[in-house]
Amino acid sequence: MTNRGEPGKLQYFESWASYQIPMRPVHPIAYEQSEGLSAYYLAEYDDLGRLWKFTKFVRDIVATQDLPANVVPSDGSRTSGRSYFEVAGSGQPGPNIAFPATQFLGEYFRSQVSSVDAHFELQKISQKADFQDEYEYWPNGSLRHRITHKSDGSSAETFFDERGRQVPGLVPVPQPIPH
Amino acid sequence: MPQIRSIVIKRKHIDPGAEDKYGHWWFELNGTESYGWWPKYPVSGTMETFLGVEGELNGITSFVGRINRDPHHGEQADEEFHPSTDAGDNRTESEIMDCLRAFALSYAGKWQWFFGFGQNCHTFQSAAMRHCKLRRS
Repeated sequence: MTNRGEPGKLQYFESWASYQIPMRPVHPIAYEQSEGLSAYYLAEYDDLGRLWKFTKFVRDIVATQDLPANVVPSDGSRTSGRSYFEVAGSGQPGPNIAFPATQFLGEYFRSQVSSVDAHFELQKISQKADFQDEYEYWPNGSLRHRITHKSDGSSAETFFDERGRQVPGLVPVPQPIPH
Repeated sequence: MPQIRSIVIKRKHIDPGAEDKYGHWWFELNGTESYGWWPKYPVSGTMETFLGVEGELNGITSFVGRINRDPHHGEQADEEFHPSTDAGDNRTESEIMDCLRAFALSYAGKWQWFFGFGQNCHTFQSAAMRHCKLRRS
C-alpha cells in the first residue's frame, strides 16, 4: 500500500485506504472506468512521485425526467444502453457526447433505462469535487503540511514535524517544496 | 421480510494481504447521507489499533467526513445489500432511517480493532442494525 505514483502524473482511483494521512489511493482506473461510479478520486503526484493533491469527485442525480421525444441517444434506438449529452445554454439536453467527454463537465445528461419500470429516462448529473487534500513534505519524506478544501468552501490546515507528529502552528519550510 | 430499498449496507472487507488492509463498513440512507465509525486522528500503527484511540462518527476531524457523510460515501463496496425487517414490522422506511440516524449521532467512545472486537466500523454497523431491528436480506 503506497501513496507514491509516477512523478508528475495524474491518476484516477476508485477509493483510498488506511487510517493514515496522506490518504492512500487504491484501485487505479482510467476515467472511462468511472462510468458507473457515484464517487471516484483523482491523485496528482509531484516530480518526486509523492502524492501532493487528492480530490474526491461525487456524482449526484439532480433531476430525472422521461426522455424527451427530440433527444436521440447515440445508438439511435431509444431502447437500450446509456447515452450522454451536454447541458445546453437553455439547461436542456445539448449535443450527444461520448462518456469520456464528461470528464471536465460539472453537469451533463445521461439517458438510460429506468430500474423501476424499464422506460427510458433522462437524468441530469451533477459532477463536482467533494473535497480536496493538498500535501507538502519534509526533505525526509514525512508529511509537513496538509490543507483540506471542502465543498462548502471551508478549508482546514494541519502541520506536522519531521517525525510526522501533528504540531499546532506553522513549521518553517527549510527549502522549496517541488510540485 | 420486506427489503428497505432506501438503505444500503456497505462493507469493504479486511484483507491483510491487499492494498486496503483495514477495509471499512458504513451505511447509506437515500444515497444522500451515510454513517461510519472512525478514529478521530490518524492511527500510527498496530498498538493504537489494538489498544484503541479516540473514536468519531464519520471521521470528521481527520478524514474529511461530515456529520451526515462518511468519507467513503458513494463508493462501491465489496458487499452491498438492502437490509430487511421482520414480518409484521410496520415501521415506515422513514422511521427506520430515523432510528439509524439517531443511533449514529448518539454513538460515542473509542475506535479500536482487536481481531474483530472493540468499537470499530464493523461493530458500529452491526450494533446499528441490531438496535434498529434490521436483518441482512
